[in-house]
Order: sequence, then structure tokens, then C-alpha cells
Amino acid sequence: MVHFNPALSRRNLLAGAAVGGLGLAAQPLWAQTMVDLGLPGKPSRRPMTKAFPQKGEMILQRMRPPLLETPMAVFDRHILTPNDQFYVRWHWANIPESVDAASFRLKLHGHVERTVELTLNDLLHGFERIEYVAVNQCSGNSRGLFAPSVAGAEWGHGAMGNARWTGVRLRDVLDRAGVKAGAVDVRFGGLDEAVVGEAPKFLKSLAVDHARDGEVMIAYAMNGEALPLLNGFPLRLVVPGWYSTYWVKMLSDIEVLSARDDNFWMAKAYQVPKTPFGDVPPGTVDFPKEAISRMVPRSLITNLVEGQKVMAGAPLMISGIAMGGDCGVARVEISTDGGATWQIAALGEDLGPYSLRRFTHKITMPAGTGRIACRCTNTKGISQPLAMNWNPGGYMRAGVETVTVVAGEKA
Amino acid sequence: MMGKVIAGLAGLGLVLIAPAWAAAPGHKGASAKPAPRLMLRSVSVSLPQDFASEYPAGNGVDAVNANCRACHSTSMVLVQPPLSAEEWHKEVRKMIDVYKAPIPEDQVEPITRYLVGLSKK
Repeated sequence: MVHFNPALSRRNLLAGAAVGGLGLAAQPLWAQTMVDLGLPGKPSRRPMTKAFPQKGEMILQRMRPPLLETPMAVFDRHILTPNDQFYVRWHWANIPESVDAASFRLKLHGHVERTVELTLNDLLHGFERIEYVAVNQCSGNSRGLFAPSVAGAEWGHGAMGNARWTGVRLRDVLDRAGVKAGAVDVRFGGLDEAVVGEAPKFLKSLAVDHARDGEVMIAYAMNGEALPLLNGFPLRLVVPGWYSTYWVKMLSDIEVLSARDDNFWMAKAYQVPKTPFGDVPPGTVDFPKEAISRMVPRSLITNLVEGQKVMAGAPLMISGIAMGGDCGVARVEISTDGGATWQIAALGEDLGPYSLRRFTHKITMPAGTGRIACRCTNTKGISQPLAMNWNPGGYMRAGVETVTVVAGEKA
Repeated sequence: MMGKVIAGLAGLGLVLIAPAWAAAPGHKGASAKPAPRLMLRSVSVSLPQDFASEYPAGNGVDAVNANCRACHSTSMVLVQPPLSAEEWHKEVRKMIDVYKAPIPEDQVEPITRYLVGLSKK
């Protein structure tokens, strides 16, 4: 059904065969445009790349398996992240480079009345279509900003994207197979495979009630187009309000389980402290854990970069993006005095509770170095903490972020 | 495995054939839409690779070049924060024990040595 790059065969890899490097890696370093992500205490510069199919200019975190970050300027320009600049994150390098639309099948099996195999046409025309806007954010977005540092994908803030997703309800598809009484979890797998066959396949699960809540979607389009292959063509699970680790790409297998899923990616990986914002004091290693789940509120200023020079005493427009996490944005506030006082920002168009939302606010900075902070409160009344949250996995960064500006006679 | 995917379609086949369904700004949550005629086309792309790219010189570089390029780019390692010998050892063990990297046991020490050297730079 799918074709893997022959260069990825295990034999080639393990023989250390020098397969001709393509794209950026083959370029000398001086030929690359570099970007500094401002990551403290670790390598902070990354090349920009246009080497990936169906993708425009992205920040190259890792070529293989691909980790591509969305530049912050994209969020300043667009509230719906363009598909060709939507971030990319894969766990395993064995990613099909071809998917045949006619022979592709989505299989449902396990604790169900009947095993079902659905074609793309079945999904496009055999179920009611739904559509909503939702943020897809990596569990480890902004990990590179963690202080103290933690190992992992060292992202800046751009391991997220906001898109209008179109597809069908997972519930309706599950009903086609008939979920049996006693079902506990529903497990999702894609076409990607580990390079080493014995390694744990990337599989994620949702509790059966969550899977059947009528919101979780099997999406076949984002922003009105088919998904780019690197974002999961042809099908991707959309779990609004939950971190991206559950949004399984190239979704091809749905298994209903009669017991809690204890596979590595649910039981061992992606564990966070069982505390608000997954926060523990830096250095803590021993704490009650749980699988990461709902997102929390965040906000980021997008029109100013760290250290930007601005005009003192003149009106300065601040623009940024906010998310409520697992619900809508109630308000965004701005502080220029270290959090002593807060001013309410204006909110842009409401594209639904799971969408990013624009905020804007006009301030005036006195001469000198100043720090501008933004804080989102969601519709459940949860506000971003002033003290940055931390955990050893580098997950769920969501404390109040600040941008330093230098106000002088010239901008 | 199926037959060869429609050749020459690389870069095409992305278009959802349909009257673009209307964007509905302001609507909340999931909403049902009437179904226009849609179809998905096959996709075939080529992903860039970097198997030829090597780790910078250092004590133990042969071990990392031989064992730590099959599953991931060198950049995965090279952008990490400085880690202690114990932390690097744990990372190497994770690659072997959890992610099943076929790394001979006698390579663990030189790999770890290289990584610790990297953190001291």
C-alpha cells in the first residue's frame, strides 16, 4: 500500500552505507540562513530550510525523522497557519513517501462487533462531515526555553499550528464497527514505522468515552486542502484541546481495547507530573505522573522580537496569539511593570474555543529597557502562572512569557 | 504492498477536488456541513535525507558515526543542552533498551565518552 524510501532499509542503515545526502545537509553551513531561537544554555541557532516536500520555509530542527518548526513571524501574519508552514514532528524515520488514495484503507478492529475497512471515498462520502478550527501543539513546544534545560527536541515556540480541520466524527466511524460493551481504550496507529523493527510502534490511545464524544475527528483536510504528507496525509486524528501527541498522523489503524492501553507511548513516554500545569520544582525527578492530556492557556507576543528597539514615549502596538488550551480565551492582559498591573488587550475574531485568537494592545514605553508580558485566562478561569512551570520531560510550558524591548529615540 | 503509485504525481495530487466549502468564521465547536463532491488524489514525495552527514571530530567519534546515524540526524544530538556523564549514559541506554538500537555493548563506553566531550565544548 505504501512505499518506503529504499535508502531507509535497515540493511543500508546498519551497514553505515553512505547514501547521498540531499537537501540542506549537503549544503555547506555558510550557505544556510540561520535563525537564533534564543534558547538559554544550549545551542540556539538553527538553519532555515525549504528542502521538504509541500513545505515552504521552515526552521530545521532535525532532518530525520523530520522536526520542522514554524517561524514566529508566520503566527504574526496568520491566525490560521498555512499548511506549507505548519510544523512537523515525527518519532520514527520510516515514513511512507507515497500514499495511494485508491488502495488506502482505514482499519477498525479489536473489541468491536465487526472488523471494518474503510476507503477514503467511504470516509469522504459515507459519513456526516464536520469542521472546526483547532490548535495542534506539540507536548514539548518551547522545550528549548526550559531553564534548567532538559534533553529532548529543543523547540522554540513554533511547534504548534492552528488550522480549520475537516473530516468525520470518530464516533460515527466507531459506530460502523460497533464498539462492544466493556471497551476501555481506543488505540490509533499510522503508516509510519520504526527503522528498527523491534522498536515500539508509535501508538496512542484515548479513553473510549473521549473517543466517542462527537468532537474527536478523523480529518482529511486542513484549511480546505488535503493534508501535506508530513502533516499526516491522508488522514489524521484531531483531538481538540489535547496535545498533538494524540493527533496520530497517516491514521490507518484503530483498535478498540477491552483493557487500559499499556503500550510504551501511553504508559512510559509523555508522562507529566500530576499537578496544575504539570509543574514541579526544577530538579525534581520523583513525582506522581500521568499521561499528558489537555492543553493549558498560553499567549505569545508575535510582532516584537527579543531585544527589539522601539520608540520611547510613542504609541507601540503589541500583537500576539493566545489559546485557552482545552476551552476558549476569556481575556489576555498585558503588563509592562513585571506583573504589578495588567491592562486588558483587545481580542480578535473568535474562530471557536479550540482556535488561536489574536490579541492587540497599544502601550507606551518610557526610555530604557522594558519588559512586556502577556497573560491569557481561559473561559474556565485558568490563568497562565507568573512563575514559569517546569518538569523534567520539558512538557506543557505555559507560564507568562515576556519580551524585552529597548525604548530610545529611534525605533 | 500495492503497485507503484501513479508515477510522476510528485508535487501534485494535493488538491481536494471540491467547491471550496465556505469558511464559517465565528461558529463554535463542531458543526455539520452538507457534503460537496470531494476526492483525494494519491501523493508521492521525496523526503530529504542526510545519511552522509557526520559528527564533528572528538574522542569516540567513530563510535557515534557508526551507531548514531541510522535512526536520526546528527543534529538531534548536536543541539542538546550540556548533559552529565550519567545523563548521557542514560540516553544511550534508552536508545538501546527502549528504542532497540542494535548497538554492541562495547560501543556504549566510547559513545558516552564522545557525548560527554561534546557537552564540555
